[in-house]
Amino acid sequence: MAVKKQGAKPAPAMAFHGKSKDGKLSIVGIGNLRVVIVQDDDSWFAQGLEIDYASQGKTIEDVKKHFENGLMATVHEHLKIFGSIEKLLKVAPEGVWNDLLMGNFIKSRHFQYCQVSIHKLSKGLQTSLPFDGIQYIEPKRAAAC
Amino acid sequence: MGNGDIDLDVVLRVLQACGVAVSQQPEKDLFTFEKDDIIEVYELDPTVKRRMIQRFSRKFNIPIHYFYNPRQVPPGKITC
Repeated sequence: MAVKKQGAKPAPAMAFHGKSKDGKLSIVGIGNLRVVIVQDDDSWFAQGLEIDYASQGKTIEDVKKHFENGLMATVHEHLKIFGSIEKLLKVAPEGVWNDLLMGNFIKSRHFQYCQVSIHKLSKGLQTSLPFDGIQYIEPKRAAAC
Repeated sequence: MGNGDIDLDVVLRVLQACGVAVSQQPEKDLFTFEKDDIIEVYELDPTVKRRMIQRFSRKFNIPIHYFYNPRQVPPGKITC
């Protein structure tokens, strides 16, 4: 479910990984992950900031879906192979932040992004998916904000 | 295809030639890429766009021109 939140102060990103008391169940929560969406020719590209993960898609909805499906699958693979998500919790490099957030600002002298949506997962999905919310930051024109 | 786009088959071949283990999950277009401590799963279209190529180049330390001219990948090379 997408909840439109314009102009709201973004909550800090956080992540945790723990196990249930019997050690059988891994619990992963990644909340308020900021994801910048930019156009890439006739397609869209999404890049996580606090976690260096990305996706591409033909539409904005597509790129969001690919990001969420891919990140979820990546978390599962890390848990399966490494037993934790520690190796996944790497911030995108400075060059990526500069390119996505500052590149267009420097070129156009206008800040072209705005935070437009926080995707919260349904209660049923929250128990099986490894993150609770994603804040998508879209180009101003696409988001019309 | 726009400038800088590459067929997925070509991208997968270059990644594999550079030591990235690639596997596909059949129920979706989900591809798992593994190299050293990096494991990432992507849902990919048949055409890979410029920014995603740049990402693969950065993440797996592969010279970007290999993707645009796969014949430059040294034969038998397993790590880039």
